[in-house]
Amino acid sequence: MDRPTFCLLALGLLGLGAQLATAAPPAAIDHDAPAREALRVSYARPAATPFPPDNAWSAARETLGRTLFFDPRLSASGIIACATCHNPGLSWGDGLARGVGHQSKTLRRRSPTLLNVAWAEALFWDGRAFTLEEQALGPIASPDEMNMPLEQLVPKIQAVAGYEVLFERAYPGEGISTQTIAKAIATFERTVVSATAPFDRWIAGDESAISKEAAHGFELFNNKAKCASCHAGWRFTDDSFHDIGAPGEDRGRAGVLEGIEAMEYAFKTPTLRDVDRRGPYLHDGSEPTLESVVELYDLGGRVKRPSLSKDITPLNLTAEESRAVVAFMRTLTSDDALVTVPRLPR
Amino acid sequence: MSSRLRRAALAACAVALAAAAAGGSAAEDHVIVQSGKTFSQERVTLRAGDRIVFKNEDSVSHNVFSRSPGSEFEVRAQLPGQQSPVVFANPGQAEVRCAIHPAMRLHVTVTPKE
Repeated sequence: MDRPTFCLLALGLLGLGAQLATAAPPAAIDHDAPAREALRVSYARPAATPFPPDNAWSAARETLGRTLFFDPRLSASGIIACATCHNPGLSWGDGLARGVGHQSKTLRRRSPTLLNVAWAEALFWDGRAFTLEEQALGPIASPDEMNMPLEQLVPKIQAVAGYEVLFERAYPGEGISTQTIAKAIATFERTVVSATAPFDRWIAGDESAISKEAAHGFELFNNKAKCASCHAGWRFTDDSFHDIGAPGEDRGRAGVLEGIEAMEYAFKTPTLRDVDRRGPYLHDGSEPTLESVVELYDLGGRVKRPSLSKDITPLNLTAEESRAVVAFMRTLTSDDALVTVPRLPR
Repeated sequence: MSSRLRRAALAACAVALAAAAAGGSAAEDHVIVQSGKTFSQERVTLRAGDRIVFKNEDSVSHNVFSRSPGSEFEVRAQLPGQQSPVVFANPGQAEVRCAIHPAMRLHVTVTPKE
């Protein structure tokens, strides 16, 4: 059974909608106006999840991926699983300012959520991986994170008798390899999709789904506060990279794209789904609350380096407007289905 | 001389050299618009010495660059409304991207001058 591939047309409509949204005049939303329809299109959820042709979805692949995802034996210590930092109970993050890896080492950056990563254009805070298959092995092999050399990972998993049948069902004839491990984990990660939030119901026409303050916040989000310039579309990110003026010495995407000034201190625009459950914020957890994040943007950044995004300028929001933007962001949290932890093979 | 001025001077030299090399066969400009966080086309074919004029008609900034051998360039952060000409002097293939928006890709084929 294959899941249908996400229609590219829908992606095009999202882009068109985002353009229309950012071009809309800064007026209160008239729910009968064409602008509302353009916004509705731009924030419409896709009909299905995309899977790549060379790693199509199957129930067996999802099952194997889920099993590997929760298995701490993928780490050298045997106590760190993918789910340790991407905990479904914490909206697929860890709730910490910065991740904690091998031998309790505090990492440089915050663990990003996995919500809706099937649609992501670039992965990691610095965008150094283009596919989930490529990304999945990174933290496993990283000495600071799971510290499991890949040449040792495969025999370790092969030694667990129960895995053989799971791999054979998922990838018949391909065996247990770094490739099939990565493909299975990627398949499972693609199934991590946000359920509908109050905002989704409101944008679809349920006027009672969010408060008037939050609706005002949405209007600000798309206009005066300029949030939708990057936090665009139903995932509330366009996967773009910016120096937003956050303090710190981490050069971010400049470590991947050397020699481009705008990439200095630039990090990936994160999704805002479940954002009120995922603090502290930014790539290093340096902003403790949504209110402080809005303050950073209102100031046009806390640090004005040459690399500061040209799109980051002071917003001059009133206190009431800042509260409204935060109220809107709190409508993006969904009551997702509980995740069952798999019985791990022995 | 600032790096920005130096870059502009180098670009001007490249244009002049390309024009000289054309020997009467005028180089052409090909306009590629950035709008809705996409390039106006996915592919373009040029002759060596032609220019692409990258026009940002979006509501956000872009930063077009290429690391393809023979066609390396970077136009720096481009505000809405700005445009930047880039000479493609060498035959070959080039992938042009936006550093800010990873989904933006343009494939450039540069054919030899007759």
